[in-house]
Amino acid sequence: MTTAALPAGTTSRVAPVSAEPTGTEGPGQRDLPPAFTGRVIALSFSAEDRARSAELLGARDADADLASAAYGEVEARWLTHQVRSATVGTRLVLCGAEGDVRAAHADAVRHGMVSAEIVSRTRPGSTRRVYCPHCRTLTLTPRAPEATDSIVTCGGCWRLLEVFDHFSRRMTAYLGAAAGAEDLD
Amino acid sequence: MERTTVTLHAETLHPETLHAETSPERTASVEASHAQHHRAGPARAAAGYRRPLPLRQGLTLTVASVHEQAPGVRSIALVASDGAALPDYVPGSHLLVECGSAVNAYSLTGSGLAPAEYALSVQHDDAGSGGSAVLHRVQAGDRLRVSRPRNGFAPRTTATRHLLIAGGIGVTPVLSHLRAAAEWGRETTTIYAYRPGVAPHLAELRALCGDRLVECTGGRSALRALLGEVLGRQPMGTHLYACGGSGVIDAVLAAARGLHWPEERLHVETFDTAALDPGDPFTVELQRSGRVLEVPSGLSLLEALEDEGVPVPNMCRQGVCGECRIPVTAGTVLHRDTYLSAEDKAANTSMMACVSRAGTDERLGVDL
Repeated sequence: MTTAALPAGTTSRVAPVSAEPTGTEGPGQRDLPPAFTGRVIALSFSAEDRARSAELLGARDADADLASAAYGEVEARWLTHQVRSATVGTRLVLCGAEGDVRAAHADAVRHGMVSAEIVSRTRPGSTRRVYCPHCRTLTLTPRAPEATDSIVTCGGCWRLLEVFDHFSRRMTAYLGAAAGAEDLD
Repeated sequence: MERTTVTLHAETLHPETLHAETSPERTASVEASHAQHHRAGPARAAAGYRRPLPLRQGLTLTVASVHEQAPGVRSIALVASDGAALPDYVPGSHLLVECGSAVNAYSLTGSGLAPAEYALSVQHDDAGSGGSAVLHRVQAGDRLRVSRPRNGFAPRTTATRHLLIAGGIGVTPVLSHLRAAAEWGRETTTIYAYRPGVAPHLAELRALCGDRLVECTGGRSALRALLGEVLGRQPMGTHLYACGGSGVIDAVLAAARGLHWPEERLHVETFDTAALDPGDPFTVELQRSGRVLEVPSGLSLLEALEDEGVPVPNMCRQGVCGECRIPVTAGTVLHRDTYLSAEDKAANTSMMACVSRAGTDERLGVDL
């Protein structure tokens, strides 16, 4: 929910981001249940995401539908309201960049949904969030296609952070830790 | 808590309950004879009986009071014989109680927080193995061997609201949930389906729930209509907990699934397992010894193994307790228990020997 307010990390070590082709890997390749007649909340981001969302919905429309550029505070407030006013039996369809989908997923779960009720399709995003355990700041950083961005500068304490594969679904962030802290000499 | 005089009513208790308390030498000799005489099942009250592990690791408690809860239902309060504090338990827990030659499970009706007593409500079951009849004869001062509290029906901490559904005596774990919900300020809605005149704990439910209790006395069709209406308007985040006979449970699950409730939100505890189909004959290969058994229709795998001198630890023999789970190495299991989760069943790597089988001509491999 704080995504929009994050400081963008800057570091010369980060290679420029290349727009990757859209893929469908990501958390859960669940579809809507066959012949689903319940309510659907849909949230998508790019035009492409919107098309994929329509594909998942089939012939029907979503009962609540939002297409937006990114998952920021307005979108989070909209989603929270939709989830809280829904009844059990409702499904959530999320299509977008990995970071946006995971943040929306985390908010939906926080307000009572379970993963089995969330149908999502993600594409690799151009950014990712890194959590600094030293000062607890979340740094939004560009993401490179290769592993060349494993060191970022924390936007809170300016430490150089080594980014690990450890991903927190609750915070939708990767874990960073002071780079070189283990070198004893 | 007042201490009750310890008097043993030998006629109402299993012989070993008496010996275990009064004569260590006798207990030892009973255990030593186990090797020659081990034979579980209905004949286990005989000299070679060895208590199942949860009872051996359990507690011997004193009956503090007994009262008639409803027609055919007795409430029994148990306390530690020395007045010591009883372990806390999670709402929805049950105790395994040694009653004569049977080991039955009964839900605890308290909230579980610092319990002054363990309260059970036992419905007399004419068709049962006699355990409930034994418990209907206990009196204040009697001692009972029980397991520590066990739980397969706990409130989910991620739930934002709780929909509790009780059918008849299935009200007992629901009462436990409601008492805990009151202590912790959790939001609940309760449906209680009962036959007019036989409604254990109804007054307590009314007092705990106020207008959040829906009573249903109209039988199966009225319950189905009510479920369709109530389950269709539960706010997101609600988890459902149902305890009752298989008819009530089936109606609840059918209604929930029809309204697209995901399985993760459905938590059920069935107490009367309907008589199971005798099943088809199948073959079992014991991988460790290479022995091959034929299991005819009408005989359980557990019984076939016992006949072959391969004892498997077991208690309920109805696919409920989970004690007789055995590893499966080959073949496809026809799961008929209520213990394993849907994922466990799909994994096909273990089975409950007491009720689960295989299809005709199927050859199962088990790691025994």
